[in-house]
Amino acid sequence: MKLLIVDDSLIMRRAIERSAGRSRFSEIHTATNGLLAVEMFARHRPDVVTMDITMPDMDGLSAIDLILKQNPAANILVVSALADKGTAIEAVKRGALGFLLKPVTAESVHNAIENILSD
Amino acid sequence: MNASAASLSPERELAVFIDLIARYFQTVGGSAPVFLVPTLETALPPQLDCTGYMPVTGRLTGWIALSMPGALLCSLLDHIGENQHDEAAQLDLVAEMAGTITSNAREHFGERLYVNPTLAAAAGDFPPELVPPTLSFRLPFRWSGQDAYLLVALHP
Repeated sequence: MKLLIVDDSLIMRRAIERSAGRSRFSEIHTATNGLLAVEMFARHRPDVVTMDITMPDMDGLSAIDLILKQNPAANILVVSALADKGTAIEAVKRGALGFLLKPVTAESVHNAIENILSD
Repeated sequence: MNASAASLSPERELAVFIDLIARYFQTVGGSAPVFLVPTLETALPPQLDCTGYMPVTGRLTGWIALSMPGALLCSLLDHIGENQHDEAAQLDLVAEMAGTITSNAREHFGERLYVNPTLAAAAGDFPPELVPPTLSFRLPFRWSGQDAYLLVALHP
C-alpha cells in the first residue's frame, strides 16, 4: 500500500505519517503543494492521498481535479482547517472521499484513513 | 501603548478567537490556555521567539498573527510526538497554528475572511510582504506556564 501526504507544513506531514501507521503502508511519499502532489501521484500511484487545501503554487481543490483526471477512482482524504461548509462540500463534489477538520489528533487521522480503505 | 479593547472589538469576534485557540490547544496539547486581558495596540507589539502570520484578503484585509515563545512550541511538539524541536520546526508549527485558527474562523466570518498561505518569522524579523498595523487587537494567553498572544490586524 502507498500513501501520499500533501501539506505545506513539515510538522503536519510528519504527524500524519506517524498517525497513518507506517506498518500499514510500504511506501509513504510527501508533497508540499498541489503542483507537486499531481506529479507525485502520477509517479507513485498511491492508494490513499491526504490533501491540505490552502497551499502555495496550487491549492488542494485544483490538485484534486487534476489527480482525479489521472485516476477517477483515487482515494482522497482532505485534511484542512477551512471550516466553512462550502469548502467541505466543494471538496466532496470534486471527488474527495472524506473531509477531516484541523486541528486533528493522531486517532482521527488514523480512523479516517482506515475508513477510506475499508470502503 | 494599550487601551481597552472592549469599545472597538465586538465581543462576538473576541469569543470566536478565544474558542478557536482553546479548541486548538485542547485538541493538540490536551488542555486549554488561560486567556488574559485583551488590549488594543497602536504599534506593532514586540514579537516573541516565533510568529506565524496569516495574510487575509476579501471584505476584510490585513493579517492575523500568532506569536509564541520557543519553550511553548517545544512543549506542543512533544504533545504531537514530534522529536524535531529546532527553530525550523518551531516556525513551521507556529505558521500551521496561525493558519489553522484563522481558517477555522471562516466558519464564523464566512467570505469576509479569504485566507492565504501562512508566513513565519523569528523574533526581530517582520515579513516584508505585510504592512505593520497602526491599530491591532492583541489577545494574550498563557499555556504550560508560557505567555503567547494572538494579534488581529484587520480592517474593512
